[in-house]
Amino acid sequence: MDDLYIDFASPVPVYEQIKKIIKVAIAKNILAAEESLPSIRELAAFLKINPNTVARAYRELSFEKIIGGRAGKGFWAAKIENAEDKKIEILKEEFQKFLEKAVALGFAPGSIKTVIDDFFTQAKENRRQDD
Amino acid sequence: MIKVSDLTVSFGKIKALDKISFSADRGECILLAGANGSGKTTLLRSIAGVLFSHRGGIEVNDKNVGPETRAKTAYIPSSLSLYNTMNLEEAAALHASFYPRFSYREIGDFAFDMNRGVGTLSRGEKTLFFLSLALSTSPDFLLIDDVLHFLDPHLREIFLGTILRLIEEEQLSVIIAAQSAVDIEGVLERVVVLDKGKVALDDSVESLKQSFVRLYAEGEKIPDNLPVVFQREWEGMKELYIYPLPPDVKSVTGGRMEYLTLSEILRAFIGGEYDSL
Repeated sequence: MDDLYIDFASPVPVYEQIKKIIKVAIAKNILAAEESLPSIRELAAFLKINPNTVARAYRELSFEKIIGGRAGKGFWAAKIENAEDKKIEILKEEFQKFLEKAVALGFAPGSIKTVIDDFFTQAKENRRQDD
Repeated sequence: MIKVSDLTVSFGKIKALDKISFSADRGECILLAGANGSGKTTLLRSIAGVLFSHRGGIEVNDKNVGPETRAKTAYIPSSLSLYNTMNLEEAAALHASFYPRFSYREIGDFAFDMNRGVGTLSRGEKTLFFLSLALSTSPDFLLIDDVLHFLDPHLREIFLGTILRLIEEEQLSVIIAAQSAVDIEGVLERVVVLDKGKVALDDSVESLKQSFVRLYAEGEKIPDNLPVVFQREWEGMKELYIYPLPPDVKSVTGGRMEYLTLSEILRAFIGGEYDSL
């Protein structure tokens, strides 16, 4: 999982980042339904973070029914109903952040649309050049 | 539970600690930061019960610091002269004699040759050995002085891995004195900064990361009601450190705002000149 990375320069709390990573992994099907997650200890050791932080992320995800299980017994990815809707939710969150930044930098809606169009035009160009 | 109330420790005319109040719960992981001479070692040694003369109160698990509490707190000093004249086995035996419960714990799979002289160990090895001794007494509270920089990255990983496991398994509480949070930021839950013997800051890492920001501003356009703890200026550009940022403020007109890693926050706090909060 190359998304398994905690950004310590971000003000987003570590437990929130962990929750996001797991949600994205499930939405992308990197974590299949009912597949087991690393234990609290394993994940804490791997990421070099406090086990309490992992425990909190797992607790909240469990409460949100994104994962099932219990400390000591193990955790697993829950079956996500409406995976497509969840994916859209995640994307909207990212988009919200992007838009907030763009507005803070002083972009008008028209300029933002231009940036997006250019991005997709460029992506198409790159694909065509690869063929 | 560690409870320090209005603790003052003086060395002659110098107040190393000036009416400090501070508390720590089981299972908490706290960074004790501050410039050299700010009082970190004095505070840890007072809690460990190896520094006797003070005014004010220090309680561990509701008992005043004394022989009983010393069994529950383990202190790892940054001076590496402890037990230098003996070999590891003798050092362990001597250490054991001070504690009611002692069961020698190896750190990870790092096995020492117990016949070696303590003086022959490298700084990193000594640090790991003292950690072994400290954990062998099954303490409730582990008080670690400024030793992390003695460890190379490999040993640091072993050191931290061991501590993380014990935090989870035994609700070990850890207070680490250090000047930066490199490598350990993820492990820490709370930060206490000392400045000239007083508490300059005591906040959770989560809250600190969201409310301590750096603002770059040109000219005078920034609002002047922001709590600036410290600032620098060069060639017309101002670098301001704001804490605490009001919770509803996400950006500041006239300036570019940046969030910081814990190490950057500490560097600004400890390295800069600021008015006491």
